[in-house]
Amino acid sequence: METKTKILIVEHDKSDIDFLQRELKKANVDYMAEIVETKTDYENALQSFKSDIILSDYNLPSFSGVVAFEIKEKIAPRTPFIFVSGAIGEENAIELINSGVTDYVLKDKLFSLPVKIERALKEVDEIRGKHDAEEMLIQSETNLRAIFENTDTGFLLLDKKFTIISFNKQANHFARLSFGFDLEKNRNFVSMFAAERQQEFSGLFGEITKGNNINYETNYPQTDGTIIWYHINGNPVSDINGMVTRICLAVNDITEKKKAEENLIQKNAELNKINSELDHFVYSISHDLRGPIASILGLLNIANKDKETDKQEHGIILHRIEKTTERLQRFIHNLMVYSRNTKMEFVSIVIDWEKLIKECWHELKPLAYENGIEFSYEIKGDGNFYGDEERIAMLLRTFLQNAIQFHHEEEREKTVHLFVHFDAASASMQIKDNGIGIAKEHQQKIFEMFFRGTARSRGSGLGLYIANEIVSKINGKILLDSIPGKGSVFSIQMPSLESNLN
Amino acid sequence: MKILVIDDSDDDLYVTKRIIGKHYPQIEMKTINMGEVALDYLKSTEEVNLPDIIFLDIRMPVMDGFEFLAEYEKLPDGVTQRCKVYMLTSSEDKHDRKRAEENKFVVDYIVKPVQEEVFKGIFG
Repeated sequence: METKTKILIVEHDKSDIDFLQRELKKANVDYMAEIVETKTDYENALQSFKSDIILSDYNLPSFSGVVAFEIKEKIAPRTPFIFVSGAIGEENAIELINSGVTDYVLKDKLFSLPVKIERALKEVDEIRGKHDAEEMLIQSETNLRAIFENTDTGFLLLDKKFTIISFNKQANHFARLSFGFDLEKNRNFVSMFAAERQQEFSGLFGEITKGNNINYETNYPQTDGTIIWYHINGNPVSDINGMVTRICLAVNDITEKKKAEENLIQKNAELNKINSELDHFVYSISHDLRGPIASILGLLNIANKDKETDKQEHGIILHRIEKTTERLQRFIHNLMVYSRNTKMEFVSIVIDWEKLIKECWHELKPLAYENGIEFSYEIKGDGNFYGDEERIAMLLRTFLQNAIQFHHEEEREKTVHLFVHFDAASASMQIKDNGIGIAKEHQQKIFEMFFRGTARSRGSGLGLYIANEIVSKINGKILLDSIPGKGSVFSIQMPSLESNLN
Repeated sequence: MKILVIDDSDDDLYVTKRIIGKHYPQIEMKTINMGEVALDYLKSTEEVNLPDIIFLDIRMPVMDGFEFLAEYEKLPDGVTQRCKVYMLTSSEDKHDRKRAEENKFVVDYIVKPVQEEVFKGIFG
């Protein structure tokens, strides 16, 4: 940092310059000087030398001291300017001072120059200091405003009686958006709210006036039915004696956060449900797999250990093992169908009902034959019905297999009839049998996982559960009409996948 | 001695019948494949003809073994004091075993496939 005082001297007389400098040195003024004589040099020096103070002769050969002062006022208005002259005249001096000249020194009283320089510089410093402070204050205010007005947080400053003293744009935005009013200075904040909430706020803000800070979440139902959530952080503002004089409120819209929280809670509940279903699933499956395996092992024990087991009995045991193994296989197949339905992408094609029914029936024919069941079907409709062929086939197989399995032993003409009705928009499949029927109290339960309604239920208890899952995946529904002892009619209705996608 | 086997599995009934029939021909054995039917049978049977031992499966459709026991408890003392109940199940589940052990009517818990030796312990 430069500590030397930079002095610009405007003087033509060499001896006067010497006198002047001698006086400065005598007074131990630490300075550096630039000396000019002409107007051009003076103007250049003002630009380049940037002096702290100007000492100018009043009368110059090439231009006048007054002109020098006027030039300085334009280029460096804050630099102090002192005339050093042989004679100025009292009136003239007063006029000059009035017009802004800092001071003057008579050449025969040069001894006073250092003091006057010092005083002039000090004044400049003071003015500059004051000016800088003001500038800083303005800048700081601007910065704080920028922060205050450009935040998602609404800020409010209230006095102890809840009168509004200051607020930012965001606070007013909240007030307008959620409550339909504009914040105004000198209004009571609490009285702007509906009567039923005033007590709540008075209580809360009262806590702050006691010196406590509060954190509070609250919601406001909106006229459009939505709910806005706010988090309010309230802090007391105290004076230098520690007395609470103001209340500062910081308000944040936490609606999105609340929604996310609620979402998370719901998701968690769903996951818990899935988890407990999975537990149940694993428990049941391990049982359902273990059961038939234990049976097979029991049968094998007899065949192996017992020497008396004859050929005929071996045949019986083998037959049993075969049937049970087939049952296990079907069970595992069902598990696969279940898993496929969950994961499989939808494939939408025009359903060829004739072909689909024939394919499904081909698989079930042996079972129907074994149980003496007559199968018939009828297809009615026109237009192209789009559906997920694989899922529809899964449904057909399940319902037809059930219709066969739950036949009535005493019925002489055991029948299963399939009726398909479709158009471009929707389709229905009706599977009708004259089997044992389903008791009223079981009609809902049969769609539950692992439910088996009778001792005749040799399956996994998964078939209808999976069917129901599939139907709900394709936005269809299942209707059931059944009379115990007479038979059942299952109707599966489903919309076209194509119209669904559109 | 009379026994009643309640089990929905044809195979398991076959195995049980076959072992007992061969090694204990003097035992009179009845099989029922549903819990409700077994309850009706116990209710309607004269005391002298009641089984001394009931073998009870756990996983059965409609009414499982534990549901059967809950109903069984409501039967007259004449029935429940006479019959000893053995669970005969393919379940190795700890929870099932614990539930069975806590039931005052259940004497023992037998895991399938049943072996000839197990019956030796019961019938002597």
